[in-house]
Amino acid sequence: MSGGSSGTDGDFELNIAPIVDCFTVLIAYLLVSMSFISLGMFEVGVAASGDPAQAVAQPETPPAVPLTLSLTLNSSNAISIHLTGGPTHLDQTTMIDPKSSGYDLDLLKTDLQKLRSSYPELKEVNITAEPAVKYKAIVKAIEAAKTEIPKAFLASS
Amino acid sequence: MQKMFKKSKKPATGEMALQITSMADIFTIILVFLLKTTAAGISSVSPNGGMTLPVATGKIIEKDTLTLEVNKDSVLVDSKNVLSLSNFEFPLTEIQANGISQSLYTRLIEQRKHRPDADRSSELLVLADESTPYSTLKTVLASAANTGFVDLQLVVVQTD
Repeated sequence: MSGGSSGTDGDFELNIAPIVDCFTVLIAYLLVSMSFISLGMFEVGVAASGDPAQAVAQPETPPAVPLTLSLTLNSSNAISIHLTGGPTHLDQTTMIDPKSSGYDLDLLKTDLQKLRSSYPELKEVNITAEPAVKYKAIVKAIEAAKTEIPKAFLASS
Repeated sequence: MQKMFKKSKKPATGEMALQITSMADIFTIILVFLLKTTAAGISSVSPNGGMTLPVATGKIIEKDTLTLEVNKDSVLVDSKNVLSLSNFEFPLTEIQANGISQSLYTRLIEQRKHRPDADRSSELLVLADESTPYSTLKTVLASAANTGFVDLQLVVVQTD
């Protein structure tokens, strides 16, 4: 890649060999430094931990209990869906049995879809797991839950 | 671009002249493509060696946030080693009564002071190995939550 010479007949000839040299170096640098895997992210909150605040005085009428949806991932690949609170003081638990390849996330999505259509006010889900459950399974559960419920929280206690 | 330059004459001798203008054209296109791809990516986030991130569909990471990495042997905050793990297990002396890791808590408090938006920043980018057990993750989450980092962004390998 040697440089060219300037023209003698008045025509200007741009010496592009050094430009090509620079381009070669830049392309090599970009190819080496660029990442070939595409990273994405999930936004999750950390569910509140610690002891609940003690009430100073009991109000005459108890406050409305919000509807709470919790998912628990068991180490046996089963998922427990627990729905509590609401105006009717719900306390219902649904178990999703494991399938041969692990957690049945398709059934989880279907169940969450049904719950969402029955309780449109349901906008948050708390996700927790048994200590031995792997992060990969938790992420898959969050992914499945977030297709139906807009906000997910991970329990820290 | 080719029209801008004077075309080189074919040499009278038997030597073959390299068509450098065509090469420059191709290189320009490749360079623009690579620069565009690099700018659109999230070059600031790169997991350390040996870490396997879980695969999922996720959103693009848009801004620079404090990163916390959990792998088999260590926990890193902002790419600096905070404490060593033994096969994802925290040392027994490390865990406090409220379930937090003392070293991680201290480091996150320090990092919070150095952030430009120290009072408002609640976002934390979490890169964890896909084999991390929830017990370890829970300690990390508790430590983060106790320092005010409650909006987590879990980094995954993106699929379509």
